[in-house]
Amino acid sequence: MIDRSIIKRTWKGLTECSRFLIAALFLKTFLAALKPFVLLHFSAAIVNGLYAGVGEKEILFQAFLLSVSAMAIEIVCHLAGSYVEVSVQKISYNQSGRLSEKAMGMDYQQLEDSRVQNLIESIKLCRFQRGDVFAKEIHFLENLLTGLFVILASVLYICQFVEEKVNSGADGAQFIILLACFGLLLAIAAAATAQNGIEHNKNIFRRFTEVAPINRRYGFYRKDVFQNYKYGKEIRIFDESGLILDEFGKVLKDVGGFMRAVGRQEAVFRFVNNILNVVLGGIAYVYIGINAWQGEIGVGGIVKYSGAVTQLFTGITQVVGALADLKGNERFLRQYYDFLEMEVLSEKADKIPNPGMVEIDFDNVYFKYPNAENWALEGVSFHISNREHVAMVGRNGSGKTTCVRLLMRLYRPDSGRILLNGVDIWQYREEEYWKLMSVVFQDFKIFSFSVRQNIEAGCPKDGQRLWKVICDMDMYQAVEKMYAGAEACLYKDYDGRGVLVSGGEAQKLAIAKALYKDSPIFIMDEPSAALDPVSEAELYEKTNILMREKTMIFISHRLSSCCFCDRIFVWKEGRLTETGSHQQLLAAGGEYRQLWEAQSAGYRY
Amino acid sequence: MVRPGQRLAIVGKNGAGKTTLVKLLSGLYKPTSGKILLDGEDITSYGREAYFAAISAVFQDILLLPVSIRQNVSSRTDGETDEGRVLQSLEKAGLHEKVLQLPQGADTPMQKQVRSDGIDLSGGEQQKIMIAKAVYKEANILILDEPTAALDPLSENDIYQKYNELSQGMTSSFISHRMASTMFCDHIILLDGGRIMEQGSHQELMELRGEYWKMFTVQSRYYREEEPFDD
Repeated sequence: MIDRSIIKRTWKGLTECSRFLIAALFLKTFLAALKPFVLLHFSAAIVNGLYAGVGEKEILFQAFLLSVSAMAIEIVCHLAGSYVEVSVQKISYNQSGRLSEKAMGMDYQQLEDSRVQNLIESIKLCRFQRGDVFAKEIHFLENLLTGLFVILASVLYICQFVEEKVNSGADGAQFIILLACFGLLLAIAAAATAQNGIEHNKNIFRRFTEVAPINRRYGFYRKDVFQNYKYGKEIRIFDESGLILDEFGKVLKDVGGFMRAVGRQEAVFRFVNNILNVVLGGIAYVYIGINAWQGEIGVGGIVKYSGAVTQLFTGITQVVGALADLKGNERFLRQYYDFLEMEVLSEKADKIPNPGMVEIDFDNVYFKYPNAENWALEGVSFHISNREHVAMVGRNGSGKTTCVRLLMRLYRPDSGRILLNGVDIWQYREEEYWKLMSVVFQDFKIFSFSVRQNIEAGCPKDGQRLWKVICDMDMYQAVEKMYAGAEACLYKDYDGRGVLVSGGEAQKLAIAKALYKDSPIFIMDEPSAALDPVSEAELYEKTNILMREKTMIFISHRLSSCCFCDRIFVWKEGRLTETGSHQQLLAAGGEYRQLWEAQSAGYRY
Repeated sequence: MVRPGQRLAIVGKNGAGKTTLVKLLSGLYKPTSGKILLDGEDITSYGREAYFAAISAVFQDILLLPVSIRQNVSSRTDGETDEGRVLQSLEKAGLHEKVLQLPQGADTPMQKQVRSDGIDLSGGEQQKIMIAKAVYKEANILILDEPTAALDPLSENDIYQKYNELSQGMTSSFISHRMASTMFCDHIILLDGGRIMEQGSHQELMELRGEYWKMFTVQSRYYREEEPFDD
């Protein structure tokens, strides 16, 4: 019924993170179960005492014991509970760290696959909607243990009841039959509760799947619109509040509908449980009352024993509910393990490339993005020699960036090969291959770390080199002015003093990062999009000098960059249509000439 | 000072204050001292909503909602949208054909990560939607902050050529690092360190042989076939 391998894996993970978790859970649940019985015991003693006319001091003493024991239990219970809470948080962070680690270690292509994306999305959504899956597991286990203890304690009390009855000389056979009947009723009620619980869990899971698209829209408005200060410009200038509130209103309506459906679900579930509870409790209470009336048990016994029966039923409900919840949680845990244990696609690759020589070849490469209809690259073949500088131009979506991504081993070609020094790039060891490349992406990211950390980015520390590249990118003054120089944090996520750099400055830092790594292959994708003309010109001059010994691929819409390169590759709709030097291509009068004419027109007036 | 219907270009180095200036112009920021006047009146006296109503802006960030293309362009619910004007604006921005090609046309929802039936346009196409949105508003003042940064030369040139049409009847400001864009502007302002260093028409500034001349020459150098760039 319950998947044992998942329980084993989960427990291993939990106890690795928090050694005393089990002990703390046991302690907490034991005491929580004990509490009502302790109260019952002393309450019964007090009632008995009052009935028997015992002295005031005696009653007060019982009351005193009641308060002291209740308090002691409460305190220890809370301490154990705190420990469990802290462990839950620890485990939660730990596990989400594991997820990130896995995602970062995966093949980029695998990561972008829609199945993997959906899985990640699903896991994230579950966390958002119902909380961390391990926190839930612990919570349900706690309920299970509590329920078991409660059952144990109630059974003990009921044995006491039986003992009392027997001692007072009741009819054995009649009693046993009654007990058996009651037991049967209890079993039926338990089964009904179990069924109820399982149905409930199934419905909840179904509902959560249904709500996913609503949640995405809700999350978008909440995070990317309402909490995004950048969006404020659009809202004010274009008076979008009407549209946004209208749309968000629709989302809220859907959310409302969903919540009502879930609420109805819950209500039915609880109603059934409560009816069973009340009916059984009522029967027990009546029976015990009769017994007391007949003098077979003390008056205090009414409180004690009827309480015990109610607790027994509560305990059974709790155990059954916890088992159903654990079963329900299984699918969320399974999702999590499915992701963690996903096979990383890389083949057995352990060749090491020679950094001294770089000869790149594309051999009839075809590539389509996952779930795309058209080819992003169609029959692409070319050769780039060692230390050659190549510019890639073409309209948006023509294949320039895709080509470079394949070269960087982020995606695998659907057919054809990509070679480095005559060897298929996928046969090289991953880290060694990537060491060869310094890249400035079009959608580069500057992290909210310090300037130094952003530039060093995992390479060995070298203070001199750090400042050299900062100077090379003409950022010396800007960085020196910062509140902590190169140690200053960028953006305000981690440090309130963090520096908000402009778009152009961020781009310069991204280039500095590539320069710092200083690999034999430099790839720059639109590195000067945010730079002013003077900075742009300086960049071209610098790269020309700095990259003399390097093999360089330069993607840009600014055709001016082409003048620096040995050859230009012109892309159109996934194909490489023209290659040659600037002069050659201008003379050829094809696509390149067209692009050139369009851009240079503005400079000739 | 900008006259009605005039086209202003704002240029300057990174961090010179260009975006800050247009944010002030569009009423998003308030000046620490001094005043901004519209038709001789301090803009703060107009009331926020009234002033915003007169402004249309395209900034560098692409911000789209998970609603239909039509609604993203009109910034209004369907009931308050002028369909014809939406299509006109898309045409002026150069996205008309692409939108008509889509199976649902202008009804197509955007933002695929939020709506499973939505689409994700390319960076350049998204920028065109932002431009269409600004055009749709038919405001008095149009502000463009690097609106062609993600566009290829042909698309960019398209926008420049259409700029005349786009800014018809509006007073507009254009920020760009591509000096070629100034050819469409009547008046140019060069900012440096938060101050206006030079201003005038393209001819005047070129004759000045100052900062503007330097920037323009540096960038246009590559485009002059007569002077091959030397290593």
